[in-house]
Amino acid sequence: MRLLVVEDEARIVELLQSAFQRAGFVVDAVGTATAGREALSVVTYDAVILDLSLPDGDGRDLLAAMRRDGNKVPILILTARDAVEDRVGGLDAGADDYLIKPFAVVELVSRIKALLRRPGHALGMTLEAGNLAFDTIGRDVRVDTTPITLPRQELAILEFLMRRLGRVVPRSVLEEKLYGMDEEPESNAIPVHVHHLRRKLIKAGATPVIHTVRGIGYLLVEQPE
Amino acid sequence: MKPRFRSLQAQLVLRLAAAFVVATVLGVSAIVYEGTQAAQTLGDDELERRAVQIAHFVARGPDGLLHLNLPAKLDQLYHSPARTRLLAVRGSDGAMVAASTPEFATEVERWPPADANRHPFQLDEFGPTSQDYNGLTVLVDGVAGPLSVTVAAASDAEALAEGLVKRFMRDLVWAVPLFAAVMLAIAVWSIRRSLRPVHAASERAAAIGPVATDVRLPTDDLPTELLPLVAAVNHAFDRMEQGFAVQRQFTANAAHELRTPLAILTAALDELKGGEELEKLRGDAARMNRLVGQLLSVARLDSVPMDVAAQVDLVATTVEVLEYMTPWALGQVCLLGFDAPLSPVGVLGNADAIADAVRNLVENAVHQSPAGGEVAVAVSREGIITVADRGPGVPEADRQRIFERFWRGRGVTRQGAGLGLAIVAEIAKAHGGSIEVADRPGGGALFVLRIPLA
Repeated sequence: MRLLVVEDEARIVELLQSAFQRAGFVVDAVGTATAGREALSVVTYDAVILDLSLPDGDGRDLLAAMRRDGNKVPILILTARDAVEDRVGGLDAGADDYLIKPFAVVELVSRIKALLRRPGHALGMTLEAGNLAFDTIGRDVRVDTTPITLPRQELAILEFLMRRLGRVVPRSVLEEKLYGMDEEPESNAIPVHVHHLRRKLIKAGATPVIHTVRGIGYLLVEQPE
Repeated sequence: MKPRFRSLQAQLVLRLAAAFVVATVLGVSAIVYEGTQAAQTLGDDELERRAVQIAHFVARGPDGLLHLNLPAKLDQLYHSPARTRLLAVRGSDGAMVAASTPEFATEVERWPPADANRHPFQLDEFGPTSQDYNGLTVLVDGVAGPLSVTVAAASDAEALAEGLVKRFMRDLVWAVPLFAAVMLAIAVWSIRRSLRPVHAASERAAAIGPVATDVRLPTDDLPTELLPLVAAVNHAFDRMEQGFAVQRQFTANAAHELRTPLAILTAALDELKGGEELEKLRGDAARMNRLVGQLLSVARLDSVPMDVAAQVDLVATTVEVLEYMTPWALGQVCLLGFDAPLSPVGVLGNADAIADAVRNLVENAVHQSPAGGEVAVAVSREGIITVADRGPGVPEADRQRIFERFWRGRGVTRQGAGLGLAIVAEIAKAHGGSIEVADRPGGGALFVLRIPLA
């Protein structure tokens, strides 16, 4: 997978390159918005990491220009400005996610992976978390190489949790996705499904763990080695 | 020295009143003095006229001596039994020609004869009738040569002229203070009216604060004397607003300048492989990141007027913070829990600031929590956000000071620099709300953040 980093701070570029190369990415780095535009016109990237304050202009201008050109590549913006208008402005201009400096490199890598796990993107076919693998086309889940059988709702919940690995998936989002407009879900339907799913994963020896965030939702976390 | 009355209106009224009192006293005194003088002069003029009249009837007889032959009417006047009027005529040599009564003749003969000046005199309780007289001796050039004529009138007889003057004075003396009082009332009314635009300007000035730095004092209708002051104040506000802008800019710049090297440091530490020492270094870097973030929050709170006029849903704002913080909390071996009504809880405020406050409360609670404990966050319909932990709690004595900047509990190992809760307190204050800490039933601390409902 090929990643473009538009960032003028040489040390950050250096660190991002080594981290993403270790995660299996090919990283191109440019220091200006102009160079970024040129690179994007030549190469098709799987994702872009974009710093908002660049020596030759605001990263948001580049972002807006890309979206105008119909470029749908996932974009994560980096910003030191954490004022709410900067965030909203960035997301409005077409960014898929943002991180505020200073950030943990691990977090940035998992965010980029999450963007690529979205349907239609590079990692959209097979989702991976620890020893757990989910083939989104074949609807097939394996722990290491052993397949496990899951009912439809539990598969849907697991897919969502794996697409947003390490981040909270609100219960309301799961309810919306699992049930149509007319279907009124039982008040404890989701918790029951999650309970069964969690038990089956533990039984199969899966390393990722489903945590419950009481009152909010669930998140899947890869257990540290 | 401060004036006793700070109000311009009170000062003006007081000084004007004093001026009116002084003017009244001076005016009344002048009228009384002048009136008395005028009455005196009027009386003397009358007496002199009578002396001239009398001299008209003095003629030198065939015997060569001077004789007074008054017509009957005048004669009666000067020889009436009531003795209201007296006369005495002497020749230029001083010899008595005629007198109304012998005792008047005796009295007058003791005085020198008249010269070029009037010689007014007073006689008290004179003669058999014991009347008071005002009199005058003048030199009159009659048909028979110069004469020294002395005339006197009983005070009663004079009463008409003097009475008129005195009565006039009495009336006028009353009118003057009345006039002064009316003038003072008009002055007070006029002052109040003229100061009305100043009151209007004051009300406008009261609306100016760090949130509304663009308000300026109105210059319409203001007295020209006050315009320079108001213009200077408005200029001061301009400079103040510029100062705020500079501060804001500085905050933004400082954020960028501090965070980039910190980002590099953090990322570089993440990349290293190593043991326990490296873990400690990562912890130090994380603390530094948090401290810089908090310092910037504080700088922003101090310099940037917070706009708290937006519609904010406390439930959605809190959920967003908790979603964002959950992975971090799990890393600290701590779970987050949330309770809230199903419908939004709307307040007027600043979503970013409220999120900042909740984040600081949760960070604090997670740091205090024992491993594996749950930090329970709740939002109520009344606009109250509570954050509860199972940590050691906050001693009664520290419950106020815990919200002061850089305050750190005695003997308690705290992760931060003592800024987080101060930030929460300032955000609560900016929203017209409050923050307090209590004991959580069953152990631990319960932080209660109140944001007034919209």
